[in-house]
Amino acid sequence: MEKKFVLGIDLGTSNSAVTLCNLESGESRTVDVTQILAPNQIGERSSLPSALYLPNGDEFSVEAIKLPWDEGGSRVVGIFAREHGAQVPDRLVTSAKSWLSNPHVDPQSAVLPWNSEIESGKLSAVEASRLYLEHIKQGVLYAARMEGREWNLDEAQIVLTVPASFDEVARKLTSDAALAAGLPEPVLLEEPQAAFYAWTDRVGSEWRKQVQAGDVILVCDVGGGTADFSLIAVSEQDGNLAVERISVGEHILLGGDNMDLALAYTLQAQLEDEGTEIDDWQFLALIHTASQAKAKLFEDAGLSELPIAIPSRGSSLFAGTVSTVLARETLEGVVIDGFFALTGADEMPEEEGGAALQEFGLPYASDAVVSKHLARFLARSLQNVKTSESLSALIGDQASALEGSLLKPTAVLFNGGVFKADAIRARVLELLASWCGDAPRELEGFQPDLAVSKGAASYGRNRVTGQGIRIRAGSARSYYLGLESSRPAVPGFKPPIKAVCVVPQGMEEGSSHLLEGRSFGLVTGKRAVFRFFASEIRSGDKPGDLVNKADKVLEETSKLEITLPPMDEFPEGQPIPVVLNSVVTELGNLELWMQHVDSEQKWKVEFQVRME
Amino acid sequence: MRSIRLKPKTTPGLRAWCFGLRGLLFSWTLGLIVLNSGFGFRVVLWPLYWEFQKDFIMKTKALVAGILIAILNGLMFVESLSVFNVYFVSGAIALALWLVLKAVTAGEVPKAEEEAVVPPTPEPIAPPPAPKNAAEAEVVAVLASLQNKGRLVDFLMDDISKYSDAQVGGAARVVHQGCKAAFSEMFTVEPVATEAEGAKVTVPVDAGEMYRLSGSIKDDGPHSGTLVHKGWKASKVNLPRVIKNEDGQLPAIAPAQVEVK
Repeated sequence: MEKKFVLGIDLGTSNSAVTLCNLESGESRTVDVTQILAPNQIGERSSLPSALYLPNGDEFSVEAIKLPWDEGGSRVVGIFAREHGAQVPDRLVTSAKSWLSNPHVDPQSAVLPWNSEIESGKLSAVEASRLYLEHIKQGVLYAARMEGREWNLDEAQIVLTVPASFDEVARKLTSDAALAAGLPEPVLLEEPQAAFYAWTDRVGSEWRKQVQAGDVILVCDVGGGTADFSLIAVSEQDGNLAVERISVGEHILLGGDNMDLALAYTLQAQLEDEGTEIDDWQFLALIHTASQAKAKLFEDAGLSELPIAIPSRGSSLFAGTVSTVLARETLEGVVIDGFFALTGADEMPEEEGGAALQEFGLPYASDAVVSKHLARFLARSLQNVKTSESLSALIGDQASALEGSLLKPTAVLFNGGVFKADAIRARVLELLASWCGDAPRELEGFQPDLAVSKGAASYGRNRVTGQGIRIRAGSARSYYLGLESSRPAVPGFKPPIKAVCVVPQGMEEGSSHLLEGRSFGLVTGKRAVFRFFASEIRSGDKPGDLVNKADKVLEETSKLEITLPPMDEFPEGQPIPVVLNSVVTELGNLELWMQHVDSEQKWKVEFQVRME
Repeated sequence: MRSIRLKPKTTPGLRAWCFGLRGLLFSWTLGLIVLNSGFGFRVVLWPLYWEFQKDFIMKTKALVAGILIAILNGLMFVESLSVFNVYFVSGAIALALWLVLKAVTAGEVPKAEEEAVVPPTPEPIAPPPAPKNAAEAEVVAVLASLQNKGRLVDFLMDDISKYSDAQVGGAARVVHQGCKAAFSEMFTVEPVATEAEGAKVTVPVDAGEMYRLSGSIKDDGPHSGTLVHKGWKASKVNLPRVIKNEDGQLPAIAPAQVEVK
């Protein structure tokens, strides 16, 4: 069906936003999403907090939390969910997105809210994501209806952003959640790429003047809960500038929320030194107040300190309020020197160790220094680029970029709420200058909160109209199938695992690959399981290449399983020779098929939800 | 000798006008042909065409008018009829004006019809019916939001005389920070006058109630004076809406809070 509009959806870890681009009029704007502001109150806000609250049976009347488009009563999504849920953590689901890529817990099992004692109503990370997307969809349709316009979702190009660090399983789960929410054919776009599209859209045709062939752009995206890095190389092809995403980072659960929390702990200690104890409720208020004071101090360089006042919970405001001061020194010590320390180019984040009994929740980054994660990303990027001649050629004209221990970016595009602060951007540039020799220049971003959804809408528009720039990206990682090596079993000794590359890094949308020369014998009616590995730093591997010690050098992401249905042509018990066919669909999803060697018949291989 | 002149004496200026109009009408006709050919309408006059397209009778009338204009235009080029040119021109102009007028008004009438024929949406969402005291309930909702974020009602209901300035100051910060956040979500506010307070200003003549004068006011403006207060105006209002309210009851400004252990 002909596409009439684009929905660019930023399904964030802490906040979501949506931009609608009308392809007929060319107009593109962020849709204010209707949500519950308090019991019996609704209103519109430009972003929808990715928070879900599960009220108990009689906590609120059905009407008090009813949106214009639903029956109401069972769940609250958005601002009120986050505000009220902060005081009732047992009933609050947050960071569902991070649970989608959690290697320890099945994202499809109903375990959220995590560690909660409530008996009914728990849901899975996929289901929570579906509910956020459903809310966004209904919000967009409702807003249009209020303006007398009826959109048909079949005429929509849906673009959904995901962290560049999401692996194939997390991407597929996101895509499934969107389909289940009634968003047809969602195209996935990496968030740092979306930020880049938003930037090109904002500067218009000027962008070709602001970057040159040979530039390596670091997209540095630190949001509320996650840090996401990507590198984009600019080259010249047939007289035109071409852009290609050459490297993506690992999933790092570290963001602005950690900074606010750190600041609140510091202020709590300061209050205790002054002889004031605060309770849990006041601590929540302190996080909030500290966050606002942080923003204000960063915004106004002339202020040396800001008073902090925390009310008590009772109605007596004058008697119960406790006061202290946030000094600029404290702020810079905690946020700038704490999270963005001037560390060396070879200082890598510390792996978790020590504590043997680690809580089995989200794998938060154990090292809070963003600088070290950035160094690790740039070092791994260099490793990745060096393994591939075609990638090296992209940055070949400045050989100095490839010298040393990390890949040196020449420009930086900041994104995410954390980088609203000039001082933090300046510190990251200073840090990069200390590693690279020259300070990379800053490409001026805009509205770091909404840029991702705007960029997603721009990308969708370019995709439908076939005009404007496209970042060459393809698969962010290379993927491998584990092979058992045939050698005699030795007690207490695991045989090394070999893996064969089935999807090369950069494999483009709409292409497929048949793995020749390696066939598997599958018996009908019997489940076959394969181990599945990935790597973001082996861009040189081609399909069919073998990797030794796969469990050491690659990352195991999931298991694959396939059960061939019983078929008349094949007698029971006789193995059917099949070869692996990998496909990256037009929508950017990776699919694996087993194809019969002698015919065109093929069967889809399913990702088994990963479990440790 | 021509004692009766059907054609008024034409001055060079008028002739130029006629030529200009002729050219204009010719292109107008061409435009209509293109329009009705269904080929160039997207680019040329798509919205106009769309209005016509929806109404069959209107479309027919427009076509007939277009052909008439074309004929009138053609007649102007017939030398032997040149004495009637002024009538041809005025006729064509009248028709063209009629068409334009129709096009403009057609945009309004069929719209209502269009809405009538749109099939009912699968799940029509009507705004919830307003309860009897909806207006009061919405004011309470605004107050609730100022209390929730900025403790405004606690501030007003407490006895301020018992506390030191330091305590009042601490509480005022809570109120200022929270109420400001709630307030700026609901209202976008900007000053009425952009000049600095204390500056000499001239009050715009059409300012209406946006300005208030004091001192010795003359009978007629424009008035000049010193800007004492720059004024505030709301450029955007985005208030919370009440979902449902029992008739005769108002919602709580702040619910009583109970911590369950």
